[in-house]
Amino acid sequence: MRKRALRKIVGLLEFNLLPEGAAMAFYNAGILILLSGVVLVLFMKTSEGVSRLGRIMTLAGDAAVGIAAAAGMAGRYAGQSYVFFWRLPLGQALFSLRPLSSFFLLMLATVTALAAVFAPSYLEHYHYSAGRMKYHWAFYLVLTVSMMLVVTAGNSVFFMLAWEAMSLSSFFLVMFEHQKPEARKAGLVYFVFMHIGAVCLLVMFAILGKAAGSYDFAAMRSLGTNIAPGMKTAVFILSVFGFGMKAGIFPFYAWMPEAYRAAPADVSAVMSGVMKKTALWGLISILSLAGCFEAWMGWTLLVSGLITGLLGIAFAAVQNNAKRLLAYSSGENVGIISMAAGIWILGASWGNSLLEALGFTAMLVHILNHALFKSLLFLGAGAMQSAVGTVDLDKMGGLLKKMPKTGLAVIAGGIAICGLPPFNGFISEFLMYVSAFYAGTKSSLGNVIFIVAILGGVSMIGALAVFTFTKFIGTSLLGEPRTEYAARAQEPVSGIYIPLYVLAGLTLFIGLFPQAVILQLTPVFAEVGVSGFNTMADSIFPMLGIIQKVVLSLVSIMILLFIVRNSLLSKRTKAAAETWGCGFDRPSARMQYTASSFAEPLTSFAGPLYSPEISEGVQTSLFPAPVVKKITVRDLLLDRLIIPAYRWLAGIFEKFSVIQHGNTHLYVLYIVIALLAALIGSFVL
Amino acid sequence: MMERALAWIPLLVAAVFSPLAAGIIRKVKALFAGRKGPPLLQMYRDIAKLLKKGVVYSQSTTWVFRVAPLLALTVSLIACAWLPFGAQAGIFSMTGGFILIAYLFGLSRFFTILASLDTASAFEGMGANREAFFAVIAEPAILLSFGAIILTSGNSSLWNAILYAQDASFAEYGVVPTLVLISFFILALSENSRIPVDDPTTHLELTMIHEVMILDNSGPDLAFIEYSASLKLWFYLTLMANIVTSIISLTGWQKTLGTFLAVMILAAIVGIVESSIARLRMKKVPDFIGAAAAFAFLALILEGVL
Repeated sequence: MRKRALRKIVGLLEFNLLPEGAAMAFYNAGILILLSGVVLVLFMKTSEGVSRLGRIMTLAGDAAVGIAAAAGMAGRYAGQSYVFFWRLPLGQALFSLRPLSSFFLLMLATVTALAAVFAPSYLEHYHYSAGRMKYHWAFYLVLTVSMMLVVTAGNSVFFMLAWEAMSLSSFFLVMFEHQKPEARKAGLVYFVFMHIGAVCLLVMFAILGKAAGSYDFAAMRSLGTNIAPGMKTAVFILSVFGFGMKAGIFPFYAWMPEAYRAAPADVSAVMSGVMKKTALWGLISILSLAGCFEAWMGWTLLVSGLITGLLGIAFAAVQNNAKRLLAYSSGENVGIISMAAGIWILGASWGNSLLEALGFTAMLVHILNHALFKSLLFLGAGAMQSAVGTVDLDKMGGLLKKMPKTGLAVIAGGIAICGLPPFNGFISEFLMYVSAFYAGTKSSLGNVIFIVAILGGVSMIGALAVFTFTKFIGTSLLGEPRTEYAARAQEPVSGIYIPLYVLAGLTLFIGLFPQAVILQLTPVFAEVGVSGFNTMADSIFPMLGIIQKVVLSLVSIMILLFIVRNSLLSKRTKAAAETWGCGFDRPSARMQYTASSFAEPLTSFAGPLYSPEISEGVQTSLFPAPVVKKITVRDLLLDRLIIPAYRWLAGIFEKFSVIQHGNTHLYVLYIVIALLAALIGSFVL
Repeated sequence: MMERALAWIPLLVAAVFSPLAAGIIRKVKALFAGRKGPPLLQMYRDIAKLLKKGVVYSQSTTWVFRVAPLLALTVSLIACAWLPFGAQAGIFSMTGGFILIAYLFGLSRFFTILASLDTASAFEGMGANREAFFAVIAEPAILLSFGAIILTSGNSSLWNAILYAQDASFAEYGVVPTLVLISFFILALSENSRIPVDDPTTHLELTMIHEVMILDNSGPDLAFIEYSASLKLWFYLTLMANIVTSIISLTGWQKTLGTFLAVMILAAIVGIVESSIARLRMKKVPDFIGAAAAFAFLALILEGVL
């Protein structure tokens, strides 16, 4: 009864009255607006003009696409595909507004629009010329369009074209400050990773296309259970590699810390919040194409998700750079999403529809949650960057007093990302925990591993997230300013903090009314072919209702206690004094715990994981003199595995350079030898 | 109607008696040290005294510092309202209720840590850091222990596990709960800042965890924090007492009374443990809390085997 009432209320918010043609018209108009924006920004004269136009074009395009996506969410156009007027080599430029695509599209439009509202005032602090702004906005618009095309693509060739456009435009955005060597390094690493991923995807689509006889997703979908087992294995592995590269599943996340640190905050927010999610769209689509699931696929995703989550957050905890910290935490969240995907597939392969539905819902809700709170935190870090001039946590401090509005939104994001109630992160993690209790009969070892992985794994990730984000908030927003720049910081203009509040409001809304969001996912269940929605709704909606009541009583008891405290104190002294220094009477801001000192217990506890490089100044004179101690933690994969391995390989290939000497006549000889070898070979074989 | 009214009993008992449990621990410790010790009801007097005082706020602090005590007390109250007491269920019960409670404690921890970082004090930062770090090991141990005890009755809530225990033999409901009990005892010590993890009565700030985090709290705020700490201690003692009375298969009012007695005895045991062992070095604390996780893990494996 109540569920129906809720459905009705939610129904009012939908645009499902939109006729089919109108939805597509909105979608096409949005894409055209964004594409024309790419050209138009190039004609602007001043950097303000470029930014203003870029913002307007993004907002207009996102609004139109958002309306189409809201209509598509209702699932009314699920069966239809639409064709762009041009033809591709292997099929048509098909696209469709299926519910799953629309879900991602809506998220994309929201985050790119909010980041575009944020960007103009934020980019000012870089003091770059109009040319650099054109560079930024043109690629930003290309990135937005290409992401939209990726998630609506109906043909794999079209998909790969959009995918490449997305990778390249984000590559150029990462290189925004391309005069700096670290930005170029970040761009290069990103570029290499993306292309290794793209190769895997090409092979995967080739396999699927050959089996289906067409490169359209619809044909691949109708392949269903006819896929040969070996091929299914190959497709699964290739898709985890190819999409995992972009999404940053272990061990493919190594490009993220560098890229997100180098990119401007609005770009990092879009890349981490939504661009990575397009890879998850691909993964979900391919997994649902592959039809019947096998348990080992679920275990693969669950275990690699657990490793990604733990490593991601463990490395986030020891970062001193706000953006790098958020980048690693992005890895953590992809890990959680991947674990939820594992639960979904395990549920499907065990024939446990409740587990299947819980995993699938947790995955989608966490994808949405992470898009919201991670872009909130990246934009928040950007707001602090524009006020202080750095993203180094150890150079901030006390910013909540200087910029209370921004600070409040960042704290909300911090609570959300730690998965704490009443914000949205709690909902998806709660669904995952609950799934541990529906794993089935309790008497198998597989079950015990499943339960331990979820209860123990997710809670440890959560506790590390609390560690990381209390450090993040504590060193940047709280305490006393650590530098004069932090002391001079001011609240940024409203253009910067309003997007933060919209995002914080959305995270809180999902946390308070999760049922409304979960009900919206019904068409997605139908499209992907996930069963058990109603069973799940019957079992979790009462729990979510209790959570709502508990949150309500939490707030009311706190208000009550607040009133009690105020009335107790109304006639008494409320003194303000210096912080108690335990007898030391000359406190200084430098005595505060820094980000490094906060992380120290963790780096020494898990020493082998971090192998921190500690440079400690030695006290040489008889009297105390300044001593510097520095703890540097290098990335496990990139700095300690991939780059050394690459150097070693490069050393081997270096030896082949003797045959490259510039003597043209010898090169001609090589060609002759090669041709002869081919000729002889063709006779012999 | 009657049933709904009775559901308030666990909360009321906790609200009234929780400072007493803290008093028992202090008394036992004093007796072991050959002192007379403070009266059993000293904790009530301390809280009443603090409520009557004014307050001093550090100039470095913001609203975060003022919210944290309110949140800490609220969360402890909600946790005690959820926890069954003997044969009496709490105000609400559901599958995954313990997850909500564990995460609410997490929220309170989040704000307590932020509040102590808000004071810009080196000492409080140190306490906050330790609290955050030890939670990384304690949190999985808490959820695994709850998971193990709840799974004894299949897919259900803590209350159902307790109901199930009434009709079960020791073979069915004995081994796993005993292991979980050990795990919860370790967690009760570490989560409530007791020896060997933390020493609530120490005088040196460098060795503190919880006490050093609240150095700058005063007046009603400190009263809220102290009261919330005693409620949290009560929460853990009652949790263990519930399991003990379930293992020895008490029912009805005997069970409720038995739980009350068990809480008092457990408080005395905590006092004895505190008197008989020394504090661990900070570096050893993770191993100690890790033992709780290991016991819970073992309990879950046995559950798979049995």
